[in-house]
Amino acid sequence: MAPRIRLYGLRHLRDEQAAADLVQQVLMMTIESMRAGKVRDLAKIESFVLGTCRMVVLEIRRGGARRERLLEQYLPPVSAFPEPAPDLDKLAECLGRLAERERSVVVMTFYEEHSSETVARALGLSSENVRVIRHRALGRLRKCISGGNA
Amino acid sequence: MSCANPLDPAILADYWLAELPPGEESALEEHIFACQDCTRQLESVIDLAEGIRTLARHGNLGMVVTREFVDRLVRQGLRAREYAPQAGGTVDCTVTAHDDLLIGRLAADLTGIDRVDVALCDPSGAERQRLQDIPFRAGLSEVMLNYPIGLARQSGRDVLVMKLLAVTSQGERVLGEYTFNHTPS
Repeated sequence: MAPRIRLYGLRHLRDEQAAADLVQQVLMMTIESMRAGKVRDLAKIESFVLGTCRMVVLEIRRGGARRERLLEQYLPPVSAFPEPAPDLDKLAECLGRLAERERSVVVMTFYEEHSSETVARALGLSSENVRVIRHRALGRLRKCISGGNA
Repeated sequence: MSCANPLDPAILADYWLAELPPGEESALEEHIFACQDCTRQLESVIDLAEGIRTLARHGNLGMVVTREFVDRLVRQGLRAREYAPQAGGTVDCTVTAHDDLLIGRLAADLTGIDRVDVALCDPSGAERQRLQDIPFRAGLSEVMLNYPIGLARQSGRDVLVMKLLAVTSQGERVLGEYTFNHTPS
């Protein structure tokens, strides 16, 4: 469950440390809730955890002090999830096989996680076109990286 | 893969980029929280994004870039070496160990043009490589290319001629020709 909470945290908080903190806080709150008998159906534990994630992220966004208070109370922050190292040589080779528009779109998109609208403005394309190019390019990249032809 | 309804990586990328409508995003998160396979898929999308960021920071991607993109990289601490020969002109160039990005700026009038290719040629005109159908914004007066800096560092003395070509169904015409006279630092 921890990797899923981390991904949720990365997606919504855009910060590795904040995501690691979220993992600790949500797991801690889940355990506390289970101990208190608030989680009655263990088959629905994923829904409970997701709901807790949403609530905590909302609180963080509202600037609530609960996160800090709980972390101080229970756990010191640690980075529990080492980053996997992508094969950069292979990725560079596969990016090199993309069409020019595809390469510019994926790099400009993922470098700063720009929306299709922003990338479209920069490159003189429509945002719908950027999304289509991005989808196609990602498919080709993944195929290339896994050993097929781009 | 044991997931009965695996999420499309392109949709996971949309999710990562916050480009899904709220209802779809919520349903996707519920799926991910119940599915280890799709969690791994999302991780792989994020890893891919991180890999692309790393390569872009290292300046090793040959690609068309924009002024704004280069300026952002510079603001983040990267050092960009730019060369901007006039159309028909030559520029002496090099790259040092302190440079992170090597940018060629090719000035041309792109008004009314639908497709542009960039041909990378040797001094005799023989094409070494062609970048087909590059993206460009109408109204700009130059094309900016990020040349892979690792290649430039490994290169000895070399002359590279870049040609901007307008391509139509009737053929192609040269918009500008730019000669880069490279010397190792």
